[in-house]
Amino acid sequence: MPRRFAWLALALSLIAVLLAEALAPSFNAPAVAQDGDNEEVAPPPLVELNEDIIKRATVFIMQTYQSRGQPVISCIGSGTLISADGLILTNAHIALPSETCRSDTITIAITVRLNEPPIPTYTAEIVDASRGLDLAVLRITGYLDGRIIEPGTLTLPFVELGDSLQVALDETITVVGYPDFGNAPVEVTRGTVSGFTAEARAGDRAWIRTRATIPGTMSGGGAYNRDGKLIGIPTIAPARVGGTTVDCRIIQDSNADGRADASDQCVPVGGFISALRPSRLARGLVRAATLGIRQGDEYPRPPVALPTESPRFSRLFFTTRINETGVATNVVTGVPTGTTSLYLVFDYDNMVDGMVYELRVTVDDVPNATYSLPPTTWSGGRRGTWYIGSSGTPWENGLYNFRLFIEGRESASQSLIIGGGPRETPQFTDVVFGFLNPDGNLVGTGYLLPEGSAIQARFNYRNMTPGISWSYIWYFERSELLRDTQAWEGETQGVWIMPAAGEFMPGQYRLELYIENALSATADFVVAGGAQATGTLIFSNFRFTNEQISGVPTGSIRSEFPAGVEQLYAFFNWRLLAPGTPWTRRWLVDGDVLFEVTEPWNAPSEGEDFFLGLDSLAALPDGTYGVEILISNISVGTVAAKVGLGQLPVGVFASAAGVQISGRITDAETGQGIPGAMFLVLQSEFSVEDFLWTQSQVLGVSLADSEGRFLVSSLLPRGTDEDPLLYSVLVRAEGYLPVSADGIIVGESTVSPVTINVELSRN
Amino acid sequence: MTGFITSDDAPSLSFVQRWNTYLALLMAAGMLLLGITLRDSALSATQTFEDLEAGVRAQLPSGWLLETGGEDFVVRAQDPDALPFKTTLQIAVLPIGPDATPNTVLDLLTMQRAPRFSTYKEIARSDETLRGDPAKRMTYAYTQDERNPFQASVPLVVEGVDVVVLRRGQAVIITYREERTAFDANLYRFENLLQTVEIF
Repeated sequence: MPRRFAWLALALSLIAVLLAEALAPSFNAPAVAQDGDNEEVAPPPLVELNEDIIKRATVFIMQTYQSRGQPVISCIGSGTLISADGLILTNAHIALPSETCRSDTITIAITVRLNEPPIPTYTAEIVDASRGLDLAVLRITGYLDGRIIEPGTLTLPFVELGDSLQVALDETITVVGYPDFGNAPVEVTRGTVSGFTAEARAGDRAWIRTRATIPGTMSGGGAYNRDGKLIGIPTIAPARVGGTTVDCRIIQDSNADGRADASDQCVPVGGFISALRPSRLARGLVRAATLGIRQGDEYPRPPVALPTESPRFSRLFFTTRINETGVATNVVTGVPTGTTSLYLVFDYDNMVDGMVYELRVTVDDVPNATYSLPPTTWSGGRRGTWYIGSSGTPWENGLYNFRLFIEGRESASQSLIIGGGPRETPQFTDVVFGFLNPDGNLVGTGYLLPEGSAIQARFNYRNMTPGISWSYIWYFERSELLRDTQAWEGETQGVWIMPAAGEFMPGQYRLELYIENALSATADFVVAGGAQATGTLIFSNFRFTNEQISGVPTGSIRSEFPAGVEQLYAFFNWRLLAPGTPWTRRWLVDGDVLFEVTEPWNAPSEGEDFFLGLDSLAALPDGTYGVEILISNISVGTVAAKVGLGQLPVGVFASAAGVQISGRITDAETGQGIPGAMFLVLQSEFSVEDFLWTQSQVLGVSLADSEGRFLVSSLLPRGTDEDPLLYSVLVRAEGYLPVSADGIIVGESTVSPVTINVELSRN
Repeated sequence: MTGFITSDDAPSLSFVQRWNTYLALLMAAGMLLLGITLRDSALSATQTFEDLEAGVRAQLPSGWLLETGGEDFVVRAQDPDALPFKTTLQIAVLPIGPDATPNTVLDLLTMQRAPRFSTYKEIARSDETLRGDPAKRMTYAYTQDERNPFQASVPLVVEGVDVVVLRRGQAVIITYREERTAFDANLYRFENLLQTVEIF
């Protein structure tokens, strides 16, 4: 045998030994690409958040019911995933069953391939919804085959909520949703912000208006700023006339008579969307859903019967200013060129939250979409005063006609002219109420006053002339109390204080001021509670407990609770609060409003142990829980209690703020994906060298699919840009050399998702 | 004229050269055997797992990913390299009532798994003994599909086996799961686990 064969045999044997070592299952080489390579780890390139992620996070929602053993689609719309574990933000009218949306199941279809229609995949349940704001948060809870999805096991693409208050006029926005009945792929449309619409209770930015062309089926989807953050929810309620949906499509033979015709289920689609609900208004719903908190038991009150009379709008007038408590400070019949603020104010009666109303505006008889409000759901409750308008944007000159519709039927209208120079007509403005102190100054909270006070009204006047006819009318609960007409005896301009005769009982009052029989100023106020210093005392003896039975606190009364309590109740007493008076209650956690409800007071006018409850799916997270009560937008009671450490755990919303990591694992020679290959991310405390193959060191694992794609099930918590968190990853597959890397950098500005592509070499 | 003289006769090796060659070949064979032995020992190497609270001690494959203290198991070991399914060994402890039998426990497992595992189907049950204690063995199968809808995977048929043995108010469930085609080939790992598991 030649000598060289001997050396070859020796070399082979050494290779065999080395091979055996290489095949041993433990390895710890801190390499970037392939084991044995000790080069410095380079962080993966940051991938800018692009349309793909937004599209994948957009879901198609179908309300369905079973008829003759077959699912029937009753309503459709779009939605957006806002957490990896399956929370969806959408419109309430898309998710909640109604007369036109019969439903026993909410089906969620998702976009798997971007150029294909969505695929029905999951079922979802409603976590919470606001019919008035037309916003709802759903949670994916199961597969279509009935299998239950265990909480926290989903890893879906999602988007983060942006700051809708930062949206600027003419800013470019991207709107994403499904353009029809789920037959077409998710669609992206771009447009600019054309203005903002103000609405009572939600303020000057109740709506973001856009010039983008958005089909009605995209209602519930998402509108995004340049950073890819969700800043608005395209919203339109299908127009109805007399309860019948105007615009709907028949898509299936729902009654199984062999024909799809007018007797079958008609799916409402709406028209075109020009209004977005700002994401700010959804923040409380989203946070509560993320924390697993919901409103709990409350003081038992009789159910409120639905109004029997027809809903109506009345007493329409215009104002150019709304103060911080939501009161119109002037009344105008015409405004000069260059006006940037204008509001239509009106009374409403017999309304129900969720009803569809609409404002159509024409300028010189030409419909104007920017100033109009498309069909949207009513959120003001049964009775009160409302306004719609806008500020901060110039109103063009012309003859404006405002027409208000309820359920597709015109209810009231009012006209106004914009143009010309400033008017020097006599005017009253800025009506407030209070009582005089010994120094002769008006004191009080303005629009909420205690019972029995000698209430005075104060208002400004200008351009008045002696002898001009003016009058006032006092109302109590919309019924006229007193009126008088006088000749003006004051100066040209100044401040007027007008006493009101008689004792004021608890309830809602109104003062209207007229100049020559034309309404010039008006304001409402509430009388409730008893006098306390310059304010009023309505609610007292606030206390918290974590247990109650039939409205009696059975747990200990305290302001600090141990971690892990499941319920929290705020008890308080009240007095001199007339039934029907609107009041607002808020639950706050660490200062953030989770729930806010405004409704008429429907308990006796005084009593003890009214309570509001907060409930949790498992346990209330540590935090400071507060209750705030407002009347006439004035805070009349604030109280808080601590649970556990008294502060929400750091990173409690991290599931919505972490970084997704995904990519592809391929064979280095063939470029083919390696199905089943394991991609493993370690907790940031551990490097590859520290890894002992225990799950406690692992942050997340993903197995590659048939094309080699992986998506790690856990989100990587962020560090700061100054002190980012570093992560290590390992990739393993039988028959391939393992790969590992340290130093994946995740800071505040790391754009999600991070994409890592790995090539494995055969061993 | 140029000519070449060729010969088929190779020069004969000297005695030392010949023995050098034999020695080299012998050494190569020996090293190969050593390599194979090392490889086998590395692949079949085990590590001791012990949970004093649960009262379980067992030998689990070395280099597998160990997860302890899960909601429904004491320890779970998965082969990180296995394709396409990560071979799984698991030990769980379940509190039971005084009248429960191994059959009852298996019934409970079936009811728990049916809504969670797609097309879950029990295949067989049989009696056996585990270290002298009566035990019950159940084999079953289900299809495992990728939960993430954005990942394209054909569902895998997974075969599993549970061995249940009862002790003071608890049922110990030892489980092995593997992709159907590799089930028999790797069953020895489960049998090794059964032989080494100690319940105290």
